[in-house]
Amino acid sequence: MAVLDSKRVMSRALVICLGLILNQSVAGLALAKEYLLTAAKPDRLFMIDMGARKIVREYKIPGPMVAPMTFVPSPDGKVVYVVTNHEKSITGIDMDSGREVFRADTAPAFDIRTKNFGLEISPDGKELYSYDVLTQLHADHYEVLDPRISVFASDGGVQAKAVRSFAAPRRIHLLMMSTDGKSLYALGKDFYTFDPQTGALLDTYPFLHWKRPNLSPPDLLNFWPLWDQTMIFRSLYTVARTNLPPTDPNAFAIGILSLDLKSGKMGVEELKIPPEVLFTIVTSPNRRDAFAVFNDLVKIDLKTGKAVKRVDVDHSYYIAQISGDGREVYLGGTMCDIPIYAADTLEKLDQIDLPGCPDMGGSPLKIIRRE
Amino acid sequence: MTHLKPLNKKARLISRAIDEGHMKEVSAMQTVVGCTASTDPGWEVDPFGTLSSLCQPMEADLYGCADPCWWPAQVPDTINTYPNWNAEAASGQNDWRKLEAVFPKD
Repeated sequence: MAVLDSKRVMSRALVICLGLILNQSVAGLALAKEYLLTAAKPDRLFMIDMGARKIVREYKIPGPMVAPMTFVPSPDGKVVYVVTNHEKSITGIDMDSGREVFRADTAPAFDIRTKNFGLEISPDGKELYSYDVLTQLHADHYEVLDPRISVFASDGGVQAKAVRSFAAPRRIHLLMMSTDGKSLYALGKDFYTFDPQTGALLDTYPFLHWKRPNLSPPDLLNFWPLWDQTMIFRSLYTVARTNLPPTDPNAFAIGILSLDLKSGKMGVEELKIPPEVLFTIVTSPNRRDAFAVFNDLVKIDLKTGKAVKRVDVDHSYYIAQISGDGREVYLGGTMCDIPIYAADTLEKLDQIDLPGCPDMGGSPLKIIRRE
Repeated sequence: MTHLKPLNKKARLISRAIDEGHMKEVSAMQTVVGCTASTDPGWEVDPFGTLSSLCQPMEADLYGCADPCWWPAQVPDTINTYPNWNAEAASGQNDWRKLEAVFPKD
């Protein structure tokens, strides 16, 4: 009887334990939710529940500033790091309290003016990377100094100092980390790969300096980090076919520069769509479709390189972003509205209007998942 | 520099400095005094020489270009010299009347 009782007790205990684990898992899934982040003039940050079509939180970004443009959320969605002080400092805002929990000034001395032009955070959330452009102010002239990447500990507090820095080429404007945290990629004239710990330049993928027959150097403009859903960075570029006269309808082409942040694979490929200015492109979680926008919204089949659908939009938008389930496309940047389109039909479903209609300007749309 | 012709005294000094080997490599000064991140022509024409790929309306592009110092020749520089130029005009399409011209201080 004692043996049967102990078995019964152990069975009950096992059931109870399994039940607790299951409840915890279900509770965890139920609480983690997807939100959209965007910033707007002069100093505002919005967290939006796109499913509910509702702004759930609004933050005042510590300044001074008039144009929030560069920000990265921590991987757990608890802190957002924003470039402020007219691009000379980085502030970190606790998303729950709204308090400033991090602050770093990028200028190393009083007579050196710096400008940040790229910000990234490590996958474990422990380090921030800032691309700094420096100029020294002498009594009678300015001296352009070498740019660099500064590294900050994300828990460095409100008087954070760089823990290390390393040299970087000029004209970098976008930083991105590999998913394993071992490579820091920097997009500039070419696509650079750094060791984020040692600062060693591991590789340079020639982009502006590519050697491709009958093609001009590419023209690219992109400082928007939009790889949240797939960890695939894609950017559009324009290129001229030098073996054709400029009046030929086929003289210009639109291409995609890609980087898989998981595998490290980089590549370029021209699309089979008429040339037009498109600012950003976002990859669907289905990996087959991509959505690009500027004066129209274009759905692109990545396998064929062709546009499968195109719709006019209400005004120019810089940014296309996508929901985690791939069903909805969000547009942003420029003015104060975030329209929502069905990914399959490009039907406009709804729109979020920022209160007071402040311009998002160059702000990205970022996706976070948190409770 | 072979395609540029100096038009004033300062430019001629620069040309002479280059000829005499006193100049270092020219780099974009992105942080002070009329900062600019590029030499894009502005809002006049798109890359294909047409108008259809310009921002529609122009106000949609105003702050995305002005605030990161993209076209300092057309608008004041809000990073360095006129940091509060558009501080009271957060909406380009609604507040453009509040944007004023700026003049050098005596």
